[in-house]
Amino acid sequence: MKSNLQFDNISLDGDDRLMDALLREHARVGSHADEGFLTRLASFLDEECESPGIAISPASTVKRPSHRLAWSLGLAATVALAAGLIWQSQRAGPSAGCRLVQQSERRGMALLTDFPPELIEGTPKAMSVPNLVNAPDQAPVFFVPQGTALLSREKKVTSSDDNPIIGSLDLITDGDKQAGEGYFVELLDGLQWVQIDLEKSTAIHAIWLWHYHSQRRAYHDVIVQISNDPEFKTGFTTVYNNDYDNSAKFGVGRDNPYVESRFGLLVDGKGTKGRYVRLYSNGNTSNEMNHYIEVEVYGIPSK
Amino acid sequence: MNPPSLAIAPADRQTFAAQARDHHRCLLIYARALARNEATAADLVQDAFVAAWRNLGRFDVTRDFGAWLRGIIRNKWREYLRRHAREVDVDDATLEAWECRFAQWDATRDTGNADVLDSLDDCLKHLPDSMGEAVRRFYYQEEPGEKIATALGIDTATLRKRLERARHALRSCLDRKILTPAQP
Repeated sequence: MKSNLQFDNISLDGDDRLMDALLREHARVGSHADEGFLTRLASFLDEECESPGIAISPASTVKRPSHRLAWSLGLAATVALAAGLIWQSQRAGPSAGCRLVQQSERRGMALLTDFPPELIEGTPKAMSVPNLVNAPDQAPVFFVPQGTALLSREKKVTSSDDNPIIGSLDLITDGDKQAGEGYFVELLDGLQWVQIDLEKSTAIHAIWLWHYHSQRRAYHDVIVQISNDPEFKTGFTTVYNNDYDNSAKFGVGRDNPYVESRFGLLVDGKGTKGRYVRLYSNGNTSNEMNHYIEVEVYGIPSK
Repeated sequence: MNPPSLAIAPADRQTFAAQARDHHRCLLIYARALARNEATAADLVQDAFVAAWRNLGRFDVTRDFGAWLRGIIRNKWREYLRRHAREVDVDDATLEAWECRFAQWDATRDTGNADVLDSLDDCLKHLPDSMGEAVRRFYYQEEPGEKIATALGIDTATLRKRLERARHALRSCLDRKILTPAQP
């Protein structure tokens, strides 16, 4: 909450102070679990288990899921478990303790980012899209290798539409994810792309993408590719594709269309090496235009 | 029968995850009431969970998990105040009263009734319009007090009073709900 000095610094008696805290906490996350807090807590407890001097049960051979997207393809319910997932999925033994986070197949660290506030305006239009994944009501949980960092902030963005009518391409990597006017760039109708130059080839572990999200809508033919070629002619890897009818001519995608939300779309980069990340879209269920608010690319920084 | 929070076995650290999930929001409220700062409150609660995790084997099963964590948070908060050369500004009587209130909230949740945040959802809907508008703008839209006062055509002192009355009304509403939970 922003500082509101004239009101924040006033002295409140005990009960009033407690109610003030309750209201502020309720205003922050509502009555839901604070998944961001739980995820961070889980990471801290992971770290704890690596500290010397703490009694740790020997690691077992419990199989745990490796890096994977936790919410895409209708797995949003999994996300609801958040940190609980980390511990409770390990039902192999009653005293699992630190063993839970000491597998040889470690998850690494939870990927965290800031989310914009919910801002839903206008009447939603019908979305006639097959296998549409509803907007999640909680943040995705995704694990990346230790040392993974945001690589795309303030990096140069190019596009198939190099003269957008609304907004500018630099908004895509400026770190601001709000959905209001002045925060998004609008590209022409039809299949369009934006491309981020990371300046160095690196292993990419996640791409987090926000289209326009202040109206329930789904963008068509969302495709994410990685390449070392700025023209994407001499080879690229497609890490996400929800083009169900091959209208973009990159092949039918295996990913499902999804409804935009403030939590964005988190794409598993699978450690693909490349310098350029290109993201396609082809209009949306509300209109034929393409909109981008923010794209974050995460990977291991090159030395 | 013991309430669920007493059922934790020290060795069963998986239970810790479920307890963390159940309790973290109330603990954040508690820490926020102590520290009156969101970031500090989150740090206090996180540090308390880490300390609890480290000492899980020493957990006194005759106490409940929420009370144990609140005790750790209080200690962390006092440490924090010492480090920042600040005075403790909550007296023991207030801490005791809060402890009673949180114990009630925990017990209500543990017996399957709506927790305090869910109950607050409902209570907010029943605030008189003038109070509800002030609360909505101040807490949920984070508008500056001066701006709200201007928009509502009142002075800032009146707004402060209105917010105080709203908090009092909400507290009364919560007390009614917590002490006499709705029947299924």
